[in-house]
Amino acid sequence: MLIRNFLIGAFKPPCNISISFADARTRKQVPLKKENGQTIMVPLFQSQENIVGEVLIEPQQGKKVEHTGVKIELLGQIELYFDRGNFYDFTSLVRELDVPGDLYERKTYPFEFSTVEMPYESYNGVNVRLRWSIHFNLLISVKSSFVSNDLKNNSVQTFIVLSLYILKVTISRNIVSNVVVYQDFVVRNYTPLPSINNSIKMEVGIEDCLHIEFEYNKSKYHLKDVIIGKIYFLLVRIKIKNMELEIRRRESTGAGPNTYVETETLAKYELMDGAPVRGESIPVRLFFSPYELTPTYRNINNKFSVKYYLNLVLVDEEDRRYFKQQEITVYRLLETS
Amino acid sequence: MISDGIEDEEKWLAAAIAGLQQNAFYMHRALDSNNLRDALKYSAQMLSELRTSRLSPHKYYELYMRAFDELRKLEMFFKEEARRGCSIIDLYELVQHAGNILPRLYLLCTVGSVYIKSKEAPAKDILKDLVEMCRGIQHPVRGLFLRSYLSQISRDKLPDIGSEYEGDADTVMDAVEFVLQNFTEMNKLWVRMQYQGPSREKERREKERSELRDLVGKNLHVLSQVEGVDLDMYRDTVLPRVLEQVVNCKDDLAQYYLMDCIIQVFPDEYHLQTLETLLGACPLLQPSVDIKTVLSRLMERLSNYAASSAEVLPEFLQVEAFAKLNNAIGKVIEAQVDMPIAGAVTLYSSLLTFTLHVHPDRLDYVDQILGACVKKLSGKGKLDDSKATKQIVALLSAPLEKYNDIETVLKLSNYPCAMEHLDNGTNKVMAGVIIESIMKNRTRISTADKVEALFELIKGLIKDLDVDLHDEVDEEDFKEEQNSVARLIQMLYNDDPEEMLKIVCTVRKHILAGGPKRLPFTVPPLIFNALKLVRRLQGQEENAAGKEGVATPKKIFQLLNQTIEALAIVPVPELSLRLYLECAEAANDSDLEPVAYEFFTQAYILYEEEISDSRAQVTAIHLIIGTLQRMHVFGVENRDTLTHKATGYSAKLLKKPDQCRAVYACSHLFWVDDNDNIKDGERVLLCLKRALRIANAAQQMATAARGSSKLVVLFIEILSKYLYFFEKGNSEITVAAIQGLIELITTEMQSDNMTSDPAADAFLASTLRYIQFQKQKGGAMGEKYEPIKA
Amino acid sequence: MVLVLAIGDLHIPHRAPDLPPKFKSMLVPGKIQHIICTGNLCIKEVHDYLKSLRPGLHITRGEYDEDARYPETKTLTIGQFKLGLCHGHQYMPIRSHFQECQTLLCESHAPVPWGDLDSLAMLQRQLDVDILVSGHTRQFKAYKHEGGVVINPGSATGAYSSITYDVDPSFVLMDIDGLRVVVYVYELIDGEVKVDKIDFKKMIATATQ
Repeated sequence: MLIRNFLIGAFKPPCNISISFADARTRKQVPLKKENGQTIMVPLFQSQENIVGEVLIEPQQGKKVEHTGVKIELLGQIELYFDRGNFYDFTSLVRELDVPGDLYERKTYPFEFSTVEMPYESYNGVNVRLRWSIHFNLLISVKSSFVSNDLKNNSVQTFIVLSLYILKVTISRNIVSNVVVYQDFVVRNYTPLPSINNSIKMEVGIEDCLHIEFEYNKSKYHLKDVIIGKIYFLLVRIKIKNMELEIRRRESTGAGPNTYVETETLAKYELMDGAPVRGESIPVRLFFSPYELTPTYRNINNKFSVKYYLNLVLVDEEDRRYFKQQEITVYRLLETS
Repeated sequence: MISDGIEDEEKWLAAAIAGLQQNAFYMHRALDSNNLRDALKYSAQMLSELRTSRLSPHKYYELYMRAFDELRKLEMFFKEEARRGCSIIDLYELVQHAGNILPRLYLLCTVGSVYIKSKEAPAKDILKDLVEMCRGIQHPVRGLFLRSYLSQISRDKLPDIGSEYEGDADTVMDAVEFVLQNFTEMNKLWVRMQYQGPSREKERREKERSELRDLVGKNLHVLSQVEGVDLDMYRDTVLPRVLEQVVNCKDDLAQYYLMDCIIQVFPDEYHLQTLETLLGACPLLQPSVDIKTVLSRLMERLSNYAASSAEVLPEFLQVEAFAKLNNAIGKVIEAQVDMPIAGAVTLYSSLLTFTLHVHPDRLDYVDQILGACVKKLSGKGKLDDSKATKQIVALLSAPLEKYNDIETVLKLSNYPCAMEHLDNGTNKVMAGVIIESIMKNRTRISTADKVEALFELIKGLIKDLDVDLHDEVDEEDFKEEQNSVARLIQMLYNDDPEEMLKIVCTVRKHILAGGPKRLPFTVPPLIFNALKLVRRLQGQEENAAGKEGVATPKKIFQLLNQTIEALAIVPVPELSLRLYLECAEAANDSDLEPVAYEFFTQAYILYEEEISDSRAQVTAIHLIIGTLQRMHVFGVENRDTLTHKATGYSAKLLKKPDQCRAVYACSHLFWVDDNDNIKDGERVLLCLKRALRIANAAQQMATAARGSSKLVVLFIEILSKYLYFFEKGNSEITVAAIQGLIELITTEMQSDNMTSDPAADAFLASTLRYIQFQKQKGGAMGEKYEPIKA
Repeated sequence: MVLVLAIGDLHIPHRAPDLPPKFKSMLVPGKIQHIICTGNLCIKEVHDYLKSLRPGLHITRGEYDEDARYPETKTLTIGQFKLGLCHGHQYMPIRSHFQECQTLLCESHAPVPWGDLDSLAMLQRQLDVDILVSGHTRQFKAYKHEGGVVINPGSATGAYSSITYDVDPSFVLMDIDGLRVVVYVYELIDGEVKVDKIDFKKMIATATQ
């Protein structure tokens, strides 16, 4: 499959450039939500895979493109939104594809990154983004004024800022013009079934008021897993209205004083309606599949972490909430099918 | 305030229905376009209306029924989806993604139904999952309806024996387990309902709860329909489990209802075979449970079962049903200290009914039950509780109805003791029932002992029970009562005169205690009973005579004389007089002249001293004449005395026509056709002449007064008497006299100052026609009549 | 065709507890057009019972009847027949207001001697009826007499009588059809109902007068 990236609106590009992967036809595509809210389909890789493909350059009809070098770069970046625009490249693999020269006609540059170490998965969080992409750089000598009036257009500018930070920098120098084309892809890493997976069992309560015991069958769940459990009511002296199980995600970014913690409730799943009496046991069965979960990320390059919690909430008739939160580990199970 | 509440509720219901319909509309659209996602979304939203807490169960039911109908459509859709290749297992998961539990579980049950039908998984597993998941609804009303829904959709899908969903061995157990579990949970929810909301609305809540009971009971009905629930399964699993729940829920409403439910839905033979278990639960129920009704119903069912076929009776004996029931009742009464007397008596009454059906031969059981009841009543005196009274009447009536034989009932030693506890009014009613039973079955009471026992039993009718109490007794009622006693006396009979005499004496003893109001009713039947006995003795008098203590007519007449005397004192002279005359004639038949004379004397005394009304006198004198005419026992002297007096009375009657008729009637006292000793033609003629004189005088008086012709009929009557004696051969009656009389009458009737009297005309005409007829007959009679010109 | 039930001397409850059940089951409402009762019922219950069979009930008074309003004699006309009714223990002149009906019922001691046919015939003449029904003696009797008929239906309960021994319960059904009357006598003898039939024809000569 051929993916074309055009430089839209910035200026009239001197040439068309497209990046394609060698196994595009067979490789699995997954949706990726872009900054502008659009969802596009991108190829899916996992760590240690070879990333092989080619770049096709087609100069505008009859135009010559002078360049000072052609290179391709595989980038693993983390963007923290409090420091927006500042990409931290934790992985950067560069391949020089051509020496400086002129391009008159279409040309194909094959590329290959072998057994690439990609330990972190793509992630799109509240305050942080982890992005994998391939960047193709064509370093073009400046010959004429090419700054388009469109640049003054705010909306376009916004787009550019968001999508192509590099381009902006190049323009500001106003010495050379870099034509940069990038191709996002998604990295997901799979985990085998954990050898140890204890259930979570706990008795909690408020003295002489409410005692419950809950049990979730595992502490580690894969993304399509289902929580099976039970809530036992050992003592009930309050009038409970209902009970819910929440799946909460805690995304923690930054470090030290700049630590930002964002908690999202991904699922609110009603487990019980009405007031139980002592001795009741309420079944829990919560499927993960409807929710967009990611695996648990304990520490991603000291930049951020993502953790999951099950929060059992009891609400009484006066809308007081009693809850108990338990961390679970979410992992991506190697899909066998 | 209450009406506001109702109005609000109507509003809420309307809003909920509107919401439901709106979402149902979108759901239909999704169904039509095969859009599963939307179908699930809108159906879940639709079902969210059922999450309301604002409606009373009654209104909630209305909402539920609408949702129910919509869910049928959804179920059809799921079925279609499954047929189109959608994995039912995925569907089963998919519906569980719904965040709200109530819609989720309704959807799960709906898909579950399709899932079972698809047979992609064993029915038992799916059912087990569903019933387990439903635990999530702990709200009583919502839970009850959800589980009711589950019950509804699963009814035809239980892995019962012979069902298409029957899996491997023993899946019927799973079916039973499923229903039992659902039942248990539903009952818990139902019981819990009473604690919802403020306590001031408790009463209303209990009413609402009551309305929901059938949702719970339905499960028992389902169980009873499961093929695989045979006696063993019922005894070993179903009943113990159900009872466990019933006992443990400690709620009187539930316990009462469910016990009754068990009794009503399961087969009789199961009850019989598990009697001990079932009864064992009774004392464990809450003291406020109306266990008597429960037990009564059980016994009623068993009674009907026993009555259904004689073949089942051995079963009852085999399981010792009576002993078990009796025992259980004892325990329940003991356990429920506060049980009203009426309750205890109801229980005994039911047990009695049962016993009469099952052990009709065991009179000892019947007596035992009565005894137990009497024991419970001991020290309570007469009951003023109308319910208890009613039950005692039922208790006492049952053996009567069953045996149709008072003699059997009289053997029950506790029967009168139980009757003692009835208030006077009811006691009388009961006595009436007893008499009615005797009458209906025409039971003969044949010994004095039994009569004694019987009269003891019905003493409420025989005498005033309470001296102080002079209640206003309705005259009609009293008459009816006493007449029934009179009828009863007719039923006392023994072929053996000795025993019969004893019976008469016993009755006499009792009725003489009845007081003046009762005697006029009770004495006559006794008299006639005795007279019948006398008549029976007539043939055998010789052999019996002389022996002491033996029944003789003389002795009986003596008794009767005293008895009538008591009646005469009341006073009811006319009746007494009639009875004296009856006795006199009976004595005549027994050839007891002095006795007969004594009776006549008594009658005359009454006539002279007590009967003053002129019309009563007329009646009495004719009875006297009629009776005396038939007496043959009297010697000349006695007869003359009595006849003389009778004639004297006749002539002293107040009205002339009455005098006239009585006097000519007296003529018969001197001429008895079949007795040659009494043929005194002269005195006959004297009577008739005297009658004529009186008629004449009467006629003159009438003519002087108003010229009435009515009295001419007297002459024709006298003419008839002339003809009578003429025919009988009384030589004193001559053709000339007859001729003269005819002429007299004719003249009288043609006289100017007489208005015509058609009756007299007709009478005369038919009399003359008669004369003509006799003439034409020819023979001796024709000859005799020949000279008479008419 | 008119069915007339003649019944009398029940003496309930003085001498009999009730009508024999066999009779009761035979006497059902709706079949009988007239009931004539000679008297001695003796109580209201019995009156009500007879009334339940046929509301139009003709009764004369017996000496034991508690209801003193029953007349001593009564006459009525059924079809071509004039009937007279009288208990027989007593005899009083017909009162004028009874003349509109022309059957006579009677349980009379009178005319004395009781049950004496000649005396009854005299009464029949006096009442000028075709059929005289009377009681008192307990003995069923039906005589043709001077072109008329005298009937005693006996005692429906077989009540004790000082006049007659061994009384079998009996009653009479008269089937009146034109100038003909068929008298059916039902007697309960040893527990079995025995029926006898007696046929009478009214002589035209009598009828036309």
